[in-house]
Amino acid sequence: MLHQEFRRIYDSYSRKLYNYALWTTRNEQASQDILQAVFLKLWKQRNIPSSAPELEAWLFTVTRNTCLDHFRAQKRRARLYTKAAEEEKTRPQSGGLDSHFAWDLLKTLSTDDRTIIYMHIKMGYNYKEIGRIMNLEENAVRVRAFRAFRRLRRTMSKEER
Amino acid sequence: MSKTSMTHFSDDELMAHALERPREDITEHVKTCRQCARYVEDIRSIENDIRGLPEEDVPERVSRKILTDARRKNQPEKKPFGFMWRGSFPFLVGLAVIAAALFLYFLFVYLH
Repeated sequence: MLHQEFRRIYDSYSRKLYNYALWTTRNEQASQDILQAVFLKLWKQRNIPSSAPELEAWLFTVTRNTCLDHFRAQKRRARLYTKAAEEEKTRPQSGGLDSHFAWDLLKTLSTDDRTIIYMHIKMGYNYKEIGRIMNLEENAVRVRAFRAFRRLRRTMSKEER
Repeated sequence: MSKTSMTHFSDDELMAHALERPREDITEHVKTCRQCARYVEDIRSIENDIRGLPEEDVPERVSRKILTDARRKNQPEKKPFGFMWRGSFPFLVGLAVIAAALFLYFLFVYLH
Protein backbone atom coordinates (compact mmCIF):
# COMPACT_ATOMS: atom_id res chain seq x y z
CA MET A 1 0.00 0.00 0.00
CA LEU A 2 1.24 3.47 -0.81
CA HIS A 3 1.62 6.00 1.94
CA GLN A 4 -0.85 8.35 0.22
CA GLU A 5 -3.50 5.64 0.27
CA PHE A 6 -2.77 4.89 3.90
CA ARG A 7 -3.09 8.60 4.66
CA ARG A 8 -6.40 8.77 2.83
CA ILE A 9 -7.80 5.83 4.80
CA TYR A 10 -6.46 7.32 8.02
CA ASP A 11 -8.10 10.67 7.35
CA SER A 12 -11.42 9.02 6.51
CA TYR A 13 -11.68 6.56 9.37
CA SER A 14 -9.38 7.46 12.26
CA ARG A 15 -11.92 9.69 14.04
CA LYS A 16 -14.71 7.14 13.71
CA LEU A 17 -12.52 4.30 14.92
CA TYR A 18 -11.09 6.33 17.78
CA ASN A 19 -14.57 7.25 19.02
CA TYR A 20 -15.69 3.68 18.61
CA ALA A 21 -12.75 2.54 20.77
CA LEU A 22 -13.56 5.29 23.28
CA TRP A 23 -17.14 4.13 23.50
CA THR A 24 -16.05 0.58 23.97
CA THR A 25 -13.17 0.98 26.42
CA ARG A 26 -14.03 4.32 28.04
CA ASN A 27 -10.31 4.89 28.30
CA GLU A 28 -8.44 7.50 26.27
CA GLN A 29 -4.99 5.97 26.53
CA ALA A 30 -6.28 2.52 25.62
CA SER A 31 -8.22 3.95 22.68
CA GLN A 32 -5.11 5.67 21.36
CA ASP A 33 -3.14 2.44 21.64
CA ILE A 34 -5.94 0.56 19.92
CA LEU A 35 -6.03 3.06 17.06
CA GLN A 36 -2.28 2.69 16.58
CA ALA A 37 -2.53 -1.09 16.61
CA VAL A 38 -5.34 -1.05 14.05
CA PHE A 39 -3.50 1.18 11.62
CA LEU A 40 -0.29 -0.75 12.09
CA LYS A 41 -2.19 -3.87 11.15
CA LEU A 42 -3.66 -2.10 8.13
CA TRP A 43 -0.20 -1.03 7.07
CA LYS A 44 1.12 -4.58 7.32
CA GLN A 45 -1.92 -6.04 5.58
CA ARG A 46 -1.15 -7.27 2.08
CA ASN A 47 -4.68 -7.66 0.81
CA ILE A 48 -6.80 -4.69 1.74
CA PRO A 49 -10.50 -4.91 0.89
CA SER A 50 -11.02 -2.96 -2.30
CA SER A 51 -14.52 -1.61 -1.76
CA ALA A 52 -15.21 1.11 0.82
CA PRO A 53 -17.93 -0.83 2.75
CA GLU A 54 -15.72 -3.90 2.97
CA LEU A 55 -12.76 -1.83 4.11
CA GLU A 56 -14.92 -0.11 6.71
CA ALA A 57 -16.22 -3.42 7.98
CA TRP A 58 -12.66 -4.76 8.10
CA LEU A 59 -11.44 -1.75 10.08
CA PHE A 60 -14.29 -1.98 12.58
CA THR A 61 -13.82 -5.71 13.01
CA VAL A 62 -10.11 -5.25 13.71
CA THR A 63 -10.87 -2.40 16.12
CA ARG A 64 -13.47 -4.48 17.91
CA ASN A 65 -11.08 -7.43 18.23
CA THR A 66 -8.33 -5.15 19.48
CA CYS A 67 -10.74 -3.73 22.08
CA LEU A 68 -11.55 -7.28 23.18
CA ASP A 69 -7.81 -8.00 23.46
CA HIS A 70 -7.56 -4.91 25.63
CA PHE A 71 -10.29 -6.23 27.93
CA ARG A 72 -8.64 -9.63 28.12
CA ALA A 73 -5.31 -8.03 29.04
CA GLN A 74 -7.06 -5.85 31.59
CA LYS A 75 -8.67 -8.92 33.13
CA ARG A 76 -5.30 -10.66 33.34
CA ARG A 77 -3.80 -7.58 34.95
CA ALA A 78 -6.73 -7.34 37.32
CA ARG A 79 -6.12 -10.89 38.47
CA LEU A 80 -2.50 -10.03 39.22
CA TYR A 81 -3.01 -6.57 40.60
CA THR A 82 -6.57 -6.48 41.83
CA LYS A 83 -6.12 -3.34 43.83
CA ALA A 84 -4.46 -1.37 41.04
CA ALA A 85 -7.16 -2.46 38.63
CA GLU A 86 -9.86 -1.32 41.00
CA GLU A 87 -8.21 2.06 41.25
CA GLU A 88 -8.06 2.29 37.47
CA LYS A 89 -11.75 1.44 37.20
CA THR A 90 -12.83 4.07 39.68
CA ARG A 91 -10.60 6.81 38.31
CA PRO A 92 -12.70 9.29 36.37
CA GLN A 93 -11.82 9.36 32.70
CA SER A 94 -11.01 12.71 31.19
CA GLY A 95 -12.89 13.92 28.17
CA GLY A 96 -16.39 15.14 27.49
CA LEU A 97 -18.30 11.90 27.55
CA ASP A 98 -18.31 11.21 31.26
CA SER A 99 -19.95 14.48 32.07
CA HIS A 100 -23.06 13.58 30.06
CA PHE A 101 -26.21 12.07 31.45
CA ALA A 102 -26.63 9.90 28.35
CA TRP A 103 -23.18 8.51 28.89
CA ASP A 104 -24.05 7.62 32.47
CA LEU A 105 -26.96 5.67 31.09
CA LEU A 106 -24.82 3.92 28.50
CA LYS A 107 -22.35 2.80 31.14
CA THR A 108 -25.01 0.45 32.44
CA LEU A 109 -24.91 -1.55 29.18
CA SER A 110 -22.55 -4.35 28.30
CA THR A 111 -19.70 -3.57 25.92
CA ASP A 112 -21.39 -5.33 23.01
CA ASP A 113 -24.72 -3.62 23.57
CA ARG A 114 -22.99 -0.26 23.79
CA THR A 115 -21.20 -1.03 20.55
CA ILE A 116 -24.46 -1.86 18.82
CA ILE A 117 -26.08 1.35 20.03
CA TYR A 118 -23.06 3.36 18.99
CA MET A 119 -22.89 1.92 15.51
CA HIS A 120 -26.61 2.18 14.95
CA ILE A 121 -27.33 5.63 16.33
CA LYS A 122 -24.10 7.52 16.07
CA MET A 123 -22.81 6.00 12.87
CA GLY A 124 -26.01 5.15 11.10
CA TYR A 125 -25.22 1.51 10.40
CA ASN A 126 -28.18 -0.77 9.88
CA TYR A 127 -28.55 -4.03 11.79
CA LYS A 128 -27.24 -6.08 8.91
CA GLU A 129 -24.03 -4.07 8.66
CA ILE A 130 -23.52 -4.24 12.41
CA GLY A 131 -24.14 -7.97 12.28
CA ARG A 132 -21.43 -8.39 9.67
CA ILE A 133 -18.93 -6.53 11.83
CA MET A 134 -19.90 -8.24 15.08
CA ASN A 135 -20.43 -11.63 13.57
CA LEU A 136 -24.09 -11.76 14.58
CA GLU A 137 -27.34 -12.38 12.76
CA GLU A 138 -29.23 -9.28 11.70
CA ASN A 139 -32.18 -10.19 13.90
CA ALA A 140 -29.93 -10.85 16.88
CA VAL A 141 -28.52 -7.34 16.54
CA ARG A 142 -32.05 -5.89 16.44
CA VAL A 143 -33.10 -7.86 19.50
CA ARG A 144 -30.03 -6.69 21.39
CA ALA A 145 -30.56 -3.08 20.35
CA PHE A 146 -34.14 -3.20 21.58
CA ARG A 147 -33.10 -4.89 24.79
CA ALA A 148 -30.46 -2.21 25.33
CA PHE A 149 -33.03 0.53 24.80
CA ARG A 150 -35.39 -1.15 27.22
CA ARG A 151 -32.64 -1.26 29.79
CA LEU A 152 -31.70 2.36 29.20
CA ARG A 153 -35.32 3.38 29.69
CA ARG A 154 -35.55 1.42 32.92
CA THR A 155 -32.37 3.03 34.22
CA MET A 156 -33.62 6.46 33.19
CA SER A 157 -36.91 5.91 35.02
CA LYS A 158 -35.05 4.82 38.15
CA GLU A 159 -32.82 7.92 38.02
CA GLU A 160 -35.83 10.17 37.64
CA ARG A 161 -37.51 8.72 40.72
CA MET B 1 -55.37 -3.69 13.30
CA SER B 2 -56.03 -0.65 15.41
CA LYS B 3 -56.02 -0.84 19.15
CA THR B 4 -57.91 1.16 21.66
CA SER B 5 -56.18 3.13 24.34
CA MET B 6 -56.98 0.35 26.82
CA THR B 7 -55.09 -2.36 24.93
CA HIS B 8 -51.55 -1.23 24.67
CA PHE B 9 -48.98 -2.02 22.01
CA SER B 10 -46.08 -4.22 22.97
CA ASP B 11 -42.63 -2.85 23.87
CA ASP B 12 -41.20 -4.15 20.60
CA GLU B 13 -43.92 -2.54 18.53
CA LEU B 14 -43.49 0.79 20.25
CA MET B 15 -39.73 0.55 19.97
CA ALA B 16 -39.88 -0.22 16.26
CA HIS B 17 -42.29 2.69 15.84
CA ALA B 18 -39.95 5.05 17.68
CA LEU B 19 -36.67 3.88 16.24
CA GLU B 20 -37.41 2.41 12.84
CA ARG B 21 -40.55 3.09 10.86
CA PRO B 22 -43.46 5.03 12.38
CA ARG B 23 -46.76 3.17 12.08
CA GLU B 24 -50.01 4.97 11.47
CA ASP B 25 -52.03 2.89 13.93
CA ILE B 26 -49.52 3.57 16.70
CA THR B 27 -49.42 7.27 15.84
CA GLU B 28 -53.18 7.33 16.27
CA HIS B 29 -53.08 5.23 19.41
CA VAL B 30 -50.53 7.38 21.25
CA LYS B 31 -52.75 10.41 20.77
CA THR B 32 -55.13 8.95 23.33
CA CYS B 33 -52.95 6.56 25.32
CA ARG B 34 -50.70 8.32 27.78
CA GLN B 35 -48.80 5.18 28.71
CA CYS B 36 -47.74 4.27 25.17
CA ALA B 37 -47.09 7.91 24.32
CA ARG B 38 -44.73 8.14 27.28
CA TYR B 39 -42.91 5.01 26.16
CA VAL B 40 -42.35 6.31 22.62
CA GLU B 41 -41.31 9.69 23.99
CA ASP B 42 -38.76 8.09 26.35
CA ILE B 43 -37.21 6.00 23.61
CA ARG B 44 -36.92 8.97 21.26
CA SER B 45 -35.48 11.09 24.01
CA ILE B 46 -32.81 8.48 24.78
CA GLU B 47 -32.01 8.21 21.08
CA ASN B 48 -31.63 11.99 20.79
CA ASP B 49 -29.43 12.16 23.88
CA ILE B 50 -27.12 9.51 22.49
CA ARG B 51 -27.04 11.13 19.07
CA GLY B 52 -26.06 14.38 20.75
CA LEU B 53 -23.11 12.95 22.66
CA PRO B 54 -19.89 14.68 21.65
CA GLU B 55 -17.24 12.93 19.61
CA GLU B 56 -13.59 13.33 20.36
CA ASP B 57 -10.87 14.22 17.89
CA VAL B 58 -7.88 11.94 17.63
CA PRO B 59 -5.11 13.74 19.53
CA GLU B 60 -2.68 15.37 17.11
CA ARG B 61 0.38 13.62 18.56
CA VAL B 62 -1.28 10.22 18.06
CA SER B 63 -2.07 10.95 14.41
CA ARG B 64 1.46 12.24 13.88
CA LYS B 65 2.97 9.12 15.40
CA ILE B 66 0.84 6.72 13.37
CA LEU B 67 1.53 8.50 10.08
CA THR B 68 5.24 8.93 10.80
CA ASP B 69 5.64 5.30 11.77
CA ALA B 70 3.95 4.22 8.55
CA ARG B 71 6.14 6.49 6.44
CA ARG B 72 9.26 5.20 8.16
CA LYS B 73 8.25 1.61 7.54
CA ASN B 74 7.56 2.42 3.90
CA GLN B 75 11.20 3.16 3.16
CA PRO B 76 13.45 0.18 2.53
CA GLU B 77 15.77 -0.18 5.46
CA LYS B 78 19.38 0.53 4.66
CA LYS B 79 21.57 -2.26 5.92
CA PRO B 80 24.89 -1.21 7.39
CA PHE B 81 28.05 -2.73 5.93
CA GLY B 82 28.73 -4.72 9.09
CA PHE B 83 25.26 -6.28 8.84
CA MET B 84 25.85 -7.32 5.20
CA TRP B 85 29.21 -8.84 6.08
CA ARG B 86 27.70 -10.75 9.00
CA GLY B 87 24.95 -12.01 6.74
CA SER B 88 27.41 -13.54 4.24
CA PHE B 89 29.85 -14.77 6.84
CA PRO B 90 28.89 -18.49 6.69
CA PHE B 91 29.14 -18.42 2.89
CA LEU B 92 32.64 -16.88 3.01
CA VAL B 93 33.80 -19.43 5.59
CA GLY B 94 32.46 -22.24 3.42
CA LEU B 95 34.25 -20.86 0.39
CA ALA B 96 37.51 -20.58 2.31
CA VAL B 97 37.22 -24.20 3.53
CA ILE B 98 36.59 -25.46 -0.02
CA ALA B 99 39.54 -23.42 -1.37
CA ALA B 100 41.81 -24.76 1.38
CA ALA B 101 40.66 -28.36 0.70
CA LEU B 102 41.32 -27.98 -3.05
CA PHE B 103 44.73 -26.43 -2.38
CA LEU B 104 45.71 -29.32 -0.09
CA TYR B 105 44.40 -31.89 -2.60
CA PHE B 106 46.41 -30.43 -5.49
CA LEU B 107 49.47 -30.04 -3.25
CA PHE B 108 49.16 -33.70 -2.26
CA VAL B 109 48.76 -34.77 -5.93
CA TYR B 110 51.71 -32.58 -7.01
CA LEU B 111 54.05 -33.91 -4.29
CA HIS B 112 53.29 -37.53 -5.16
